[in-house]
Amino acid sequence: MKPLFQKRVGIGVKASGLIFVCVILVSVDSSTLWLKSFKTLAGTALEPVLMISQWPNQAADSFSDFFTTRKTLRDEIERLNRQILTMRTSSQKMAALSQENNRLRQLLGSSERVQEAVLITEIIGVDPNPNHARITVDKGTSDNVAIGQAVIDDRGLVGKVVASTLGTSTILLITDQTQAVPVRSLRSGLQLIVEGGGGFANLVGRYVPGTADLRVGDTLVTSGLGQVFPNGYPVAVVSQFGQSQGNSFATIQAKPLAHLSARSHVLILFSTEEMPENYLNGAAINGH
Amino acid sequence: MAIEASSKGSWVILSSLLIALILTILPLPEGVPMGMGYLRPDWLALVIVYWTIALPDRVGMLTAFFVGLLADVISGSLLGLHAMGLVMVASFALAAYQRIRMLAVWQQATMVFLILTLVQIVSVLITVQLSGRAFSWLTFLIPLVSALVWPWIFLGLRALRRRFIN
Repeated sequence: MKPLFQKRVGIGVKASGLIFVCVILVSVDSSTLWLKSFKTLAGTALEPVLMISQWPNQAADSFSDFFTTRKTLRDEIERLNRQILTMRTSSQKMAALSQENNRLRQLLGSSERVQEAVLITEIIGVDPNPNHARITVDKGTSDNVAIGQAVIDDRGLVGKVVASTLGTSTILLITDQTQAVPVRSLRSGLQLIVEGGGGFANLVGRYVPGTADLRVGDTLVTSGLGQVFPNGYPVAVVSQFGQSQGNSFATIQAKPLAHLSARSHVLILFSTEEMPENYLNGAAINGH
Repeated sequence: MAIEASSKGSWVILSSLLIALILTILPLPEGVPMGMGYLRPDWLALVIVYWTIALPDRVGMLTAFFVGLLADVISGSLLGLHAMGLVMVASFALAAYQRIRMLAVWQQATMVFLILTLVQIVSVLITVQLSGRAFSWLTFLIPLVSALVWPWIFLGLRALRRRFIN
């Protein structure tokens, strides 16, 4: 066995060396994209581990599904059919309005709205770190998902894709502290930026003067500025608008519209050129 | 004799690390508030501490480094963050393994608490500096919960070690 003291010196050196390597890695990863391909590759290799970590929750879900009665399922089907009927009726008008809108825009000399198609994905994981607001979904680079794509659900903006492996993607939610969304008020047209407050809490609006035309209850939609999130998607509803003495900016809080805490499906937005071929005819539900 | 024995039962060590990895990314069940995320033990650190003090010739800083990298990739954090934490944990455990072995389980738990708190402080400082996120003081609950879980990890892994390794 090696003498005690000799081993102690060895530890310090080795530890410092490894920690130094780690510090380099962390610095590189936080400021550049050089490690991205390694992370994607390794992430793809580790996908089985991710799948295994989903089993407990999936098992619990199947277990409760097993006990659902036939009547409940039949009622649910009826309700959904009625919903489809209502939605089909409203979307009939949508097609016509969309065309008219594009014609008017042409007349005014503005560019046409880009047609958007959606890819339905299922949420398969939630980042357990309470300081992060991120989810994992079950479509990845093999479905042409790319970093930067906006993600919505049926109620509003959910976030954007920040990482992608072959079969999964990671989405940063709008409520994450490092995410900011340029929005405008639907009522007044006021432009502002809302940032995530962390976890599943409310969004915070910054740098808006107290005299701005914004009220509690206003719907905020994406403004399309910054080319990150496409224009026109609902984001949140203003829940607090106030000004305290001595603060030149108003305190604004907005409650996100999307179902951010439910385990369900989300939709990844594609412009039609990027959409994988086989999805255009089937799953696309928007704009055609 | 040391050479023949050096890979016997490696599967026990590797599986325990794999299970710890899975537990680290296991999502909270539906309906549980996000705050409960602060009450999860740091499974990887606990398993690394155990194997480092039980088999310091086989599990050490290099193992911790690679396992940490895996944890970084799979949890999507900055590459090297978990690795650094685990390397620090392993190095503290290695430096004092003879003494830690001598202690009673609950005393070991205290050592575990101290090591993990120290590492957590460093980790938080770096995360705040580099990712600009605010951090919650609740993160320091994690070393506490981990220390509370230590006795079970110790007893469980020790039983496995005795059965399958030596």
